[in-house]
Amino acid sequence: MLYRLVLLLLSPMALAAQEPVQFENQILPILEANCFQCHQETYTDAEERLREPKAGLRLDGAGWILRGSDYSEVLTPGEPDDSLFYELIALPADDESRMPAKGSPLADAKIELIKRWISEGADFGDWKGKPGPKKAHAKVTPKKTLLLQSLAEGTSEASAAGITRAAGTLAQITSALPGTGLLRVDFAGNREQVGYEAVSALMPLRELIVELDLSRTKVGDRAVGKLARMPRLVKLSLAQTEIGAGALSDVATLPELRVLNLVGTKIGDGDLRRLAKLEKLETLYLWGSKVTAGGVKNLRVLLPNCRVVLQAGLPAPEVGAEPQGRRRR
Amino acid sequence: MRIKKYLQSRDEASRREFVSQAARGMLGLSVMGQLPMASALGLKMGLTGSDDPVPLKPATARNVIYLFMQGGMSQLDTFDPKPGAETQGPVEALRTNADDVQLTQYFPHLARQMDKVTVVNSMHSTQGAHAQGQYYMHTSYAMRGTIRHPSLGAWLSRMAGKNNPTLPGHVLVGGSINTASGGFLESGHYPLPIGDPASGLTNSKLPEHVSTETFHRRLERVEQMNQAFAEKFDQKQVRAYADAYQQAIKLMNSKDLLAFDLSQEPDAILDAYGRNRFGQGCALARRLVEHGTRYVEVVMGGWDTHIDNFDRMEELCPTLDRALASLLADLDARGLLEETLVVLATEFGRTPRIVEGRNGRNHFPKAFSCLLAGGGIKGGYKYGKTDATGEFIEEDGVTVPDFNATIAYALGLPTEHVMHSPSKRPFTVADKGRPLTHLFA
Repeated sequence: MLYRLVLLLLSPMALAAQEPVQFENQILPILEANCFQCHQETYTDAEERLREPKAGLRLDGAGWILRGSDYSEVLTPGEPDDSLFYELIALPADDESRMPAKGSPLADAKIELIKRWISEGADFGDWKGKPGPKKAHAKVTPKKTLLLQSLAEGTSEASAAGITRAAGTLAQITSALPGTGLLRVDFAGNREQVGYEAVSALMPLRELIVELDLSRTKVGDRAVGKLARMPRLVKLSLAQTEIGAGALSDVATLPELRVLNLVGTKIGDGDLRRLAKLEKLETLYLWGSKVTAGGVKNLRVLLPNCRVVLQAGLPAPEVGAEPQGRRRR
Repeated sequence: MRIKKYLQSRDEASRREFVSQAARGMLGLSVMGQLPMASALGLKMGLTGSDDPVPLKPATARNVIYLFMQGGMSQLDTFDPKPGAETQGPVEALRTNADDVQLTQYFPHLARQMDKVTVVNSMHSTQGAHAQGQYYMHTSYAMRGTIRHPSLGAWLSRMAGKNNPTLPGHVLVGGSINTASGGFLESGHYPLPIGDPASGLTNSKLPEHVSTETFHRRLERVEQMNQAFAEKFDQKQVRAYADAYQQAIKLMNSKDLLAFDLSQEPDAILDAYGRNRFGQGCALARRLVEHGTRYVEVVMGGWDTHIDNFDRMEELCPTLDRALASLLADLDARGLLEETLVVLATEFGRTPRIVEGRNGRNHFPKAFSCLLAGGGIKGGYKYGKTDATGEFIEEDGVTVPDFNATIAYALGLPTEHVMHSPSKRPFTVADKGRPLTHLFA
């Protein structure tokens, strides 16, 4: 109780007295004196020994501090208790993990200062130090994830019961982007039983389906007609199905379609112009269909940004002696 | 008291082994050990293991085809040529269809596919012996006497589950179950081993003298015999065995069994991959992925070239060139490459210095090369750099755990998620590796 009272009395005064910690003037000198010996760019010491940064952690540049060690990040701005940078210097004196590993422990005031600097957001001010890691651990979000994230906006997750019902006994419905309601649908293992009924059953989820694999199923143009009502479908495979030209007209109405797989279908050159409306289409797979190089050429005029894969470009068989164990059917 | 407990635990393990062996033998099944499907709902949400679901992350790939170059592949003679350097020997460099990427003369077919590949030339490992290196590469942990760690395929199976409920989720073509093992995870996450890709899944058909009725009668009898036991010991492991039978029988009766049958492929395709075990293994891997198996490892041996390195390269590299080039082209043409991550890995590289007298190269974990392609990975990209002799990494060294964390990242497996071994020790996918996110497009 008394303790709280003291705190209560002290805190406004303390706050008023505290300017934000300045990294370059207040923190950097502590690091230089106590940490740099082990945690800076690789150098040769006085005894001509090569000194590599311990645990891969460098503290001689803002980029390096943020990058962390070879094993983890060490600094979470605003969260000293979630920052090894603070945790390891504040361990009990007899803890073998305590930093600095060599030399004397940091004075309490210095530890407190570092804690405060992290709490205040770990601002480096104008200080940059040595140029940071180029690309090594710069975090990049893959294009595919970004696209799905943007599509997920404004959607909400389907109920578990709704998913179970739509899946029936044939579909595998999985999350297309964990943390959102977007779904991927596949019929692996049951493809020969999938037709109009199975596709119709998916309709309650039509707003959420972004990937649909109908390859090798028994779907025809009527089933594909249902898909036209899937506003977020990004990727569709109709490979090895019996769909006809009519199906393409329905597919062409899919506003977000990026990838269309028509491998092994009977789609021919004349049918392709139906796809002209798919402005966002990025990849079209046509290997093993009835489409010819001429047809692809015409399509490229209509969809100049779409990658069209017509041939596999497999290596030619070996010439000369055939290896042993060759089987011929 | 303590001794009794110990004996019990020993007993349990050996009984488990016995049951497994007996099931294989008596029923003629080699598909044992496929774990039960997760509860319907768990699987549908992309979360498996009904009693301990793992929250997944966004993924760029669904499947992995993991090509393991066993013995330690020479990086200088394959993917990190040093034209003009003394260490290069007689091997010449070759330009590819990717501006920044060079291969050696042995890879004319792959050179036409490099626009789909990221080459990592700055791999380094802490392990310089074969068994330890292979184990480390597969599991991200150093070998220890007290525990077996799961390989990446087993982690995927445990965390993300199967795609095709009928097919095994994790298959190993060639190689040893000791490296690609499920570790401390349940037996269902262990890979299904395939010896010769050309003969596919053996013992999956009933013997001629056993009719379907006889088979079903036998199964019923097994069930009767097991019933009392299953009721008395209603435990995860016991249920897993019952489910393993169900899985195996489902597969035996399924059309998906054809996924294992290479004779379904046109000759032209099998010719392109190369009529050898590794080439056919790659063709099988593609078939399996196409049918819904999520993780296939294909092993190619013979890379331990201490003696006559350059003669051996003349045999090994063309086999790899043809198989890998075909795999990439074939997957791409089918639209599968964008969701399938193709990995080429090896336990370590080989010394740039050529060993005099025997014209060989020794083990070299300090700097070596691996490949990544498809599954959202950048194409025509080279990462990391070794110096002009190949002795040192100059830029962007990649640890084995980092490399594996990158594969896990592609699959949406959470690398920070801690799973406990039965002995209650904590482990994560890829240990403490950090994914190289900038390798993704």
